[in-house]
Amino acid sequence: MVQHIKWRRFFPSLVLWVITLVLAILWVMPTLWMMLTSLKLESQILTPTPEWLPREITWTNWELVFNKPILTWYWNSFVVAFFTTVLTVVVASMSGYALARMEFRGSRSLFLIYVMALMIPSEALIIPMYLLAARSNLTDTYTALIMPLVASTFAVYLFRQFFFALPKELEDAALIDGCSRLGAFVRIALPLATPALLAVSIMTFAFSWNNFLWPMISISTDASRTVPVGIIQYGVYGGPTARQDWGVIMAGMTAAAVPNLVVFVALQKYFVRGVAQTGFR
Amino acid sequence: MVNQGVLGRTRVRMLRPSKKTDLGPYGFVLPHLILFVVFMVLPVVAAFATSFTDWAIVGPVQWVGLGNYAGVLQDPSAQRALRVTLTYTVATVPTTLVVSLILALLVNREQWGNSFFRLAFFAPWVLPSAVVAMVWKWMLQPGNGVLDYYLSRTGLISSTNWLGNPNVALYALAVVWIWWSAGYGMVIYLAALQDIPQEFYDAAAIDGANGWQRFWYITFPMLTAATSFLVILSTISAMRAFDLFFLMTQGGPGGSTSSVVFQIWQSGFIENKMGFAATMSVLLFVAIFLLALVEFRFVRERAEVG
Repeated sequence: MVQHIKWRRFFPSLVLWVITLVLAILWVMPTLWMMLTSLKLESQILTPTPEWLPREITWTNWELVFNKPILTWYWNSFVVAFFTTVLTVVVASMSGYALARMEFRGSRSLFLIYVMALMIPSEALIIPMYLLAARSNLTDTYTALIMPLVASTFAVYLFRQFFFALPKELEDAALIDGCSRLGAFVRIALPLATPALLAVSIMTFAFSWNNFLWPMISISTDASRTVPVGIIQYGVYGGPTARQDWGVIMAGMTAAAVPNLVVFVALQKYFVRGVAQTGFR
Repeated sequence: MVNQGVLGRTRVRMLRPSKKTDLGPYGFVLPHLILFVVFMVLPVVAAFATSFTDWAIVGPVQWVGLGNYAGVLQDPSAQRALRVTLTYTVATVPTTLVVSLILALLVNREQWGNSFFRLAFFAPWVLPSAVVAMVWKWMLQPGNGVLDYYLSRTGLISSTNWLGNPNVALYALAVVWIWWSAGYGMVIYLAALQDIPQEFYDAAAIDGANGWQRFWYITFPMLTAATSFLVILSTISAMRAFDLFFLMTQGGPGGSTSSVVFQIWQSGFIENKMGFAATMSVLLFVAIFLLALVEFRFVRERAEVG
């Protein structure tokens, strides 16, 4: 009798767990399939019935991946993402701090403009940005990739909200003691702003790294490409008339995906916090 | 300052405000502001300006006035782009929201493997769009692709050219989008769910509420803020969608996946009609801006009333 009651209470929980497990497997499957395909010979890839495990592990697809300057793309992506993040954190935290703490003429209007700018879709600006970049000889440059992202007002908004909510006492005490505003900012406010700094850094780095449309448009030489843009060339490997070589394509995709996934798993706590903070209105 | 003695005087001397190293408010705000003006305001102005011309990279620029606007509003591909984007938005926003909520509810429980589950659902979000596009393109290949194979084997659906069939392609893209982005909504909902005080549920249990009632009268209302935020975000994201449309179907087949941004890209960079593309950009900009404004007001009203 007791066993029977226990099972009935346990059952819904088990069902839900199985559902979650199935969904999780479905969610992971595409990535897994991608990685397995990269290790297969073309003959096995094209079989009418999909076979999961490679019959024998082949690295030819991977060799072909490195025929393209993928390491250069990695370097470019890293440089761009790094400087975008550093610059964004510096200028946005300063702006956010000033808008939250310092009352000056135009501060309310400026914040309002910044909030409205949040609603500007960058996709609507690619045409004028391209025309401006072409005329200033800034296509194919790091500047063109970095600056538009640093100009975004999202980080400023996050910092401003954060500093607004921070208790003023410590800074006020420092100011009374004769500390400068800049000093109060650097020595007191910033160290307390770690959650916001982490959230902004992670989100900015990830966004910059995965950015596609603008880098695709503004960069035309292979040596200056970033990873998300460069890898689409694997899709036309062998020229436009050649069949798609899915093994090579999947290897290229795996090469692009693995670093992102590794970083994500390593820093998952911060990713989740970063995302949750963006919803924190 | 009173009983500080020698030490006190030294302290005051060291901390005298040195105006030379301090930054006024404008100093704090200026660096970002300059970048904002150059890389955001200037392009917006340029977009408006270009929309009144017939600029085509090479060749003289002619003032066209509102000609482009009339042209765009009457242009069949522009109208099609609007239909495509609206359909896509309506298809993805509610579905992604529901899926995100379900995932959040499932992983909010204490169960074995939760960290794996959460990782699994969120991981796609960190992948570059090209990876998502090519992997799914490969899985949706008719006959050969893994997904198409298993779906056709269930007997419910026959092998379809998912990305090549104009009636289906847009919805295939919607499914890919959901896989890619549901994890983001899941994290937001998870944070919101964990903010709901346990006491509410305890009180409801004492009052005899069952699971469904607990969800509908406690959980769901407490998620209003998160839901509003996600509705705004997903709607705007769907209207800006480009990557999957470009990488998976190139706007085809037959223009059935030619979203607004894809059409802008096509007009500007392929058909070389920059003025036309700029006009569409301005219209997209205004549409999203107004939409976001309306949704903001709506959210604020509900928050004040509720």
